[in-house]
Amino acid sequence: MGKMTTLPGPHSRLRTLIIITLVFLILASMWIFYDLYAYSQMRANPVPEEFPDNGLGIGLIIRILLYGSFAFMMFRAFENGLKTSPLTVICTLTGVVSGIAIVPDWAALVDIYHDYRGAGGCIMEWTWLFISLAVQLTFCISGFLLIFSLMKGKTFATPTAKPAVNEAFFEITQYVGIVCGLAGFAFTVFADVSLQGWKFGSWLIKLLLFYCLAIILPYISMVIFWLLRIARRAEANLYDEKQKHDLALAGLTAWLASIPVMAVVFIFDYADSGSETDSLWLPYYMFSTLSVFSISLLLRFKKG
Amino acid sequence: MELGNNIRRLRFDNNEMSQEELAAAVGVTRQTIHAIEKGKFIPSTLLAFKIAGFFGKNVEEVFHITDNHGKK
Repeated sequence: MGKMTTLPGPHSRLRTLIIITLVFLILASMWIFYDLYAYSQMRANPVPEEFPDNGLGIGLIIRILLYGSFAFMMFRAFENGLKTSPLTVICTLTGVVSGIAIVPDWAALVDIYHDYRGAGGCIMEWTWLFISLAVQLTFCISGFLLIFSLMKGKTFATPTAKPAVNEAFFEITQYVGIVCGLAGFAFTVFADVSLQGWKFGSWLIKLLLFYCLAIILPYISMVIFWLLRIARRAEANLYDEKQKHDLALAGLTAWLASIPVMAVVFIFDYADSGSETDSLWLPYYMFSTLSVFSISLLLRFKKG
Repeated sequence: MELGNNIRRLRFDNNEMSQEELAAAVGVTRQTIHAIEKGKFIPSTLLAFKIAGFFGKNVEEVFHITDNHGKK
């Protein structure tokens, strides 16, 4: 605890959030190994009557609490001048990916539960769950490293050099936008291809839109936080003028790029007119423009 | 024709001030100061006056128009 005094400035809230996150991080790390054990047991003994009795749900709840406290900790750390570094980026991105993965993890477990009753193999679901565990493990390792560096105050900008507009948060938001956009686009393509033969009911459309919402939620949370920060500022010029300039050009690039993307979507929909997957045009549009917008903005930001 | 500037030299003359410190003083990001110094971004009139005012100079002493060969 002594090392935490090296944190710059009055950081009592940040310290509290760091401790809470650390506790959840330790629990979540332990649960990764428990999940690994539970998965291997389930694969070895697929007995439907005993299947749900293994505490996996508690692990999901711990993960939700962890990502919540991690998000608040990061917001607070950025407010206190946290700088972007490879560790910050890796930790944030693996956190976002494994946070989004809670929904497909849950869906995969439900699928496995149902398919095991019919003696299905569930190879894809198991593959997903083990990949998800690997991402969680990466997040936990990078999370521990980040928390230790936060405790030492190494990753903070010096108080005199703290910028009026937080460019570290601006940069991280674009990384998250790229990950959410690409993940969402990949999910939409997967849903489009794999659901070709299905008859869409309104429940399935709602479920797909729920998945899309889960994927884009980290980006939306960051943008809302960004807007709240802006709303609290008194100055007339809320954005840095180069940020405004970059935002405008990235917006133009995203709009121009959306035309060929949506033309391709239209051609496929037209060729298969009346397909139930036609309604996926919205996630296609949303995720493709988000990806291009974030990539373009990040490149302009990095280029200077 | 491009907009040249002496910001880098003025920072150096002003106790080797960093880009971050100048950015904080005039209310922009370090990236913006970096882009202006490199000539990749033309600042608004307001920001140009803020930067010049910070160094206690006239705008003409900080910014100047150059031809494509870098001559004033």
